[in-house]
Amino acid sequence: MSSERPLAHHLGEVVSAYLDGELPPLERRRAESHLAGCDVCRDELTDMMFVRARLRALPMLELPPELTGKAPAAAPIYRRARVLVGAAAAAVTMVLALAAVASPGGDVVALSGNEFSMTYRARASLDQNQTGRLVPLENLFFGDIDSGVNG
Amino acid sequence: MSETFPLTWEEVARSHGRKIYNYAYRLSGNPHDANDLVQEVLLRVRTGLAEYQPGSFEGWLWRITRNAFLDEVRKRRRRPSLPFPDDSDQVLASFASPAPDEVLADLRLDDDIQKALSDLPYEFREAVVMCDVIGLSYEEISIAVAIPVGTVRSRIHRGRRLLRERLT
Repeated sequence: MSSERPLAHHLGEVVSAYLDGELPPLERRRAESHLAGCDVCRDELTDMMFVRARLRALPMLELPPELTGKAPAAAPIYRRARVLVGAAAAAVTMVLALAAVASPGGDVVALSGNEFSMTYRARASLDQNQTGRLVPLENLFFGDIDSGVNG
Repeated sequence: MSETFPLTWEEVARSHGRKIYNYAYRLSGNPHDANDLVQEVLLRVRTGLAEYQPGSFEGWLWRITRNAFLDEVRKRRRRPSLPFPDDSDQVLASFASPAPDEVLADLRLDDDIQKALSDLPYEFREAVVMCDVIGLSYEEISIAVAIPVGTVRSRIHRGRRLLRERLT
């Protein structure tokens, strides 16, 4: 008896597993054999492809600004300054960037979220005159986690 | 994602925050629920990462996300049963301020499928969103939802079939 004989009954949910590439090789070959000779299951496959395509076409929405604009309040931020950025300071507000403020000697400053916000603004304006150094880091924070939960 | 650990919760936020938001949004149809969910999940990730055992990171993260979502829903609705009421007009209105115009247009175009999703029984909606919106494998969904892979397969297929009947 061939291990790749078509299934005698309709595939049912196996159609979705086939479409998703979730069948092991033997089951996959059986499903393909069955599909080749079964209009009902081919129609089912077409339906599943249609639904999956609609779902996959849903736009991946951006995080709303209120989740991306702030640093967390509770956790102090210890980061080593890596790159000094002057002119880019204004652009930083739009991104999910956490910034740290480094002293001229490169010392690392720990900031709470509130301190961060205030210092951030101050330094951002200072930077226009090249007196302060605003250093955006690659780290991303999404909102004021602690107050969001407790509040 | 790659299995290089230890991860920080900031890295998880960066790599998965948007997906978590979309997961909650597609399940609830409500941006406020989605906002709250992202914050709650990241809080749980921050406290949970210390105990994370290398394995399926996606399964681990989405189990946290799934459970946080259900907890938030229960807390808010004071009842365990889903689905949510359909208030898509209100959803769009509340989303109008931060969303760019093109996103709003997309939302309106996809209104029928979002509504069809909202009408699905929760178990099917969850499985379909994890598979087709987030892109998890059956095994990852199995871990996240704590059900056998065969049940995942069944829920995905039945969910899609119900969606197909609503999307004529």
